[in-house]
Amino acid sequence: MSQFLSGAIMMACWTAGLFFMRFWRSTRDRFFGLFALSFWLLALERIILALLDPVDETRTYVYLIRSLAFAVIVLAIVDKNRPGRDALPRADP
Amino acid sequence: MAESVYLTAALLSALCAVMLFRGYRRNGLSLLLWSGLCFLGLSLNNALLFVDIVVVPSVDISVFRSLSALIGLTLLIYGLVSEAA
Amino acid sequence: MNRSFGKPPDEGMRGDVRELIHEHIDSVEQLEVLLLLHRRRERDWSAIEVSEELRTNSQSTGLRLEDLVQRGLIKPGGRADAYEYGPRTAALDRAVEGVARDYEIRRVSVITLIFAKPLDRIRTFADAFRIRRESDG
Repeated sequence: MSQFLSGAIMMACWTAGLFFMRFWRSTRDRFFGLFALSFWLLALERIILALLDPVDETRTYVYLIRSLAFAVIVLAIVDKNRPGRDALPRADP
Repeated sequence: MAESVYLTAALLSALCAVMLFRGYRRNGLSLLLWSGLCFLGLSLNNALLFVDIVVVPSVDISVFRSLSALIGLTLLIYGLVSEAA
Repeated sequence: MNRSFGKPPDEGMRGDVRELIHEHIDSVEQLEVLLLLHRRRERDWSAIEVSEELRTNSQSTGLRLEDLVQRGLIKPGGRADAYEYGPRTAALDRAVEGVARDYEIRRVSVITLIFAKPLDRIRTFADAFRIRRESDG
């Protein structure tokens, strides 16, 4: 059961990352690129967990990947709120 | 070390959820609702992981941990496919 | 939930109005800024004055104003850092006229149309992460 759930989570993160990647291409807003990276890191975390086959995901260093994923989200939010940066979306001419 | 990562992740995910729900209240775009619920699920997943380390339970809650993340992500995928495809 | 089935929101809407919304309007706030300058075109407006009038954050109205200038819908006004209504072409002016009227009589359709493009919905997702101190209701 837990393997199934872990695999499903990995697939979902991978897919979400794909969507964000596509959004980055259409909007040229690197916010989405960062979100894609973050979700793909979460997917990677699941893959590594499956490869290492640890007893418990709390007992390995795999959480470092997760912390990186969330650091990227923080980066995305901070980057979006930087004053002076043109945060407005532009319609492509 | 691990517990601080999970705690931070839980708080950050909750923050993201709040921002998305606020946006949803502002303009009613349902993609914001689904992604808000996703981050809520991720927050719960990380919170349960934190609890798992700090309070060693006699009951194995790993299924609930994974389920909260999976349900949240499923809602996000649903929102992405129906709103943005 | 936004759906493309059923009656389209732009049914009965003039073509140039629809074009204007598709091309240049990406949020309700931006539309309100434009319509304010259009409605009160006898004077110029600074970002602070607009934000007071619309009760939003002045930094975000400043960005909106700059964006509208780039789109050729408004122009710099008499005072420094102020803007006034000034579409680049007469056609744009007619379109803004139409949007202003439609916003009065069929506001929901206009708002729905603003979000009709998936791209705008996606941008709205990113916008949700902008921390603004505006009072929204």
